[in-house]
Amino acid sequence: MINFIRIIFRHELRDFLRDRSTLKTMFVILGFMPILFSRIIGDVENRVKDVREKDKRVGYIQRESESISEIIPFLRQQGIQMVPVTQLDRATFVDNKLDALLAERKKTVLDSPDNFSKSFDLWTSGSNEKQLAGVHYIQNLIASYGQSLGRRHLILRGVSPELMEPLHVEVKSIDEDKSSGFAVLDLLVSLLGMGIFFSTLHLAVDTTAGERERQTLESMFYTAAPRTAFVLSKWLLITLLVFLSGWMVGTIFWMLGEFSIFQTLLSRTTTFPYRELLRGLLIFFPLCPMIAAMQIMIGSLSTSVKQAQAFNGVSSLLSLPLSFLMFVDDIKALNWAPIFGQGLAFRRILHGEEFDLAALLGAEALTLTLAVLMGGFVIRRFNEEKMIYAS
Amino acid sequence: MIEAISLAKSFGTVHAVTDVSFAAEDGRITALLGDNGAGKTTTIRMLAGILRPARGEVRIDGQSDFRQRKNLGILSDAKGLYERLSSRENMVYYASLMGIPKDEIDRNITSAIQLLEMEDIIDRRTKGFSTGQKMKVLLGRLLSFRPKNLLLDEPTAGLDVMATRRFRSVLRNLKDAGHCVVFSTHVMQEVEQLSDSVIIMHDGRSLVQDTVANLYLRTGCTAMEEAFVHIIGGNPLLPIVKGTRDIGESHHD
Repeated sequence: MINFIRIIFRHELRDFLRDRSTLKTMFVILGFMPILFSRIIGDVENRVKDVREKDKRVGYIQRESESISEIIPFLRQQGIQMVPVTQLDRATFVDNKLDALLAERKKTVLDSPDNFSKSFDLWTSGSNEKQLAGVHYIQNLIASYGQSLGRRHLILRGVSPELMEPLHVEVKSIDEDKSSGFAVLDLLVSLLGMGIFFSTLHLAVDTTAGERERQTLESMFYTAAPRTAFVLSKWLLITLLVFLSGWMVGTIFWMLGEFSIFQTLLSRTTTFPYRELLRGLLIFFPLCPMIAAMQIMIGSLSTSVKQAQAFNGVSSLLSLPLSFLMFVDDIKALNWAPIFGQGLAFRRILHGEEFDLAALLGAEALTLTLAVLMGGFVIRRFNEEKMIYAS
Repeated sequence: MIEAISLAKSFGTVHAVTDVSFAAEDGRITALLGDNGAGKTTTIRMLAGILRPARGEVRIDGQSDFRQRKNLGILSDAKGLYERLSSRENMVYYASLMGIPKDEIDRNITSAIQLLEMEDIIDRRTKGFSTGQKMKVLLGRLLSFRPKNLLLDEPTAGLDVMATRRFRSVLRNLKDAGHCVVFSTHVMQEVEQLSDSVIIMHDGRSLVQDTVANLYLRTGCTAMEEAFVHIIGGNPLLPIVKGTRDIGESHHD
């Protein structure tokens, strides 16, 4: 049996390496997905950076207020371009490419009589997140200027400025500079999941339903090799390729964040330590034989390649939970479930949080049980007469 | 030697084979002649061990143990080849799965190349091969482990005249070398020219087994087509000629 498995495995590997369409499909997935995900991270980072650092253009209607003149030097000092305009309307925003327009609010009888208190309206022309974030940035600048003015007034009156801020809060992080925020880590979990679920779809279909459709499987059944040897060889090959795909897709993703040339091309500057990827692969390893067995099982049950491709495509949706772990983080039972269990544990490890080891081991055991059950089903299927004439 | 003893097989409500019996001896070419749907392919698949008979028994060289497949080479109607592999690689892979040592495979392939005149295609990938070229590789695949018994399901289907003639020549060579060759066909001319023994099948049953000459004598016909129609039409056969034998529920008196 071992000798037959070795012969069939070598044959399957050689056939796979010569199969350009399968290789193309795999490499498109393995190469395209990390690039796409890196681009997404780069865009997110750019968006945040834009909000913080991009030159803002703020219009003001000077003739109506002298108070605005007092703020302008401060805002210019903060890198804001101040643009004098004559009226407040949409055309003014468009013509002057304004991010916001500052106008003093006229006081009414209900307002405070305090001469030091001024009210301003900060107008915006849009409602998307990026525009609002820009306006909020300017709002915070003006508010902080107002606070410093307030402190100055208190000092002039002989009052300690600390009275104005009895509680002081500052955000700090214990993370290293290179280990970026949650986005890149969550995307790594999602990417690994998609890599291992999608990359071998074509191969699994080709080696089962494809062989039957091309009439090569039947002639192999006339040999002295037991049919179980065919199943085990195909299963072993696909399991290894599933794992290899996970490793490759993760490594490419890591490299894209690590080297400056890719950082420039994809605008991605954040990365993660390589050891975290290796940990993830270790946790996800039991999923590899399960995915391989599932894909072969679908291939052996299907009556044509097209049907197998359709069903295997649907089965790949099982990778989706790994993209939405943040929404199910609190559901404890899911820690014991295959796919969810591995994903949640890996996510917690990446974020430096505690994870339930017993639950992870339970999920791994369940995953391997499913793999054995599905593999056993395929062996049984291969030994049925239907495997030949059902097509 | 290949023996079929009262074989029967059904697929759901379809009775593909109801009663097939015959014996194919070594050093002879035996033809399974039948119209479409007569049960030839199902019979060959049962002989090959890929389908389990609902009833009856198959014996290869007197044994019913299908683990001894080295003695049986099968060319079924599934004539697929690994297109990304060369002819030689296809042959080596198949023979390896028969458990044949590598040096023996190399020797067998060398002689198969000469016998089948396939020097020009032996190291080419089989993708895009013509039907004749594919048939050479499939036969070469069988010759790569030189089984004593050969089962061929409509082997000349789709072949042109020259390829068919070459194929017949190969079968005669195998017969002369003492191999037991069984092939199924519905081509009367092929049976006349090639077979030492004919089994006529109809509606899932083997009706008669005899030589071509004896079938002519027993039906009073001068051509295989007429004899075939005579037999499957349920017409009576003349008594068995001395030195031959009959099988199953034949229509002779």
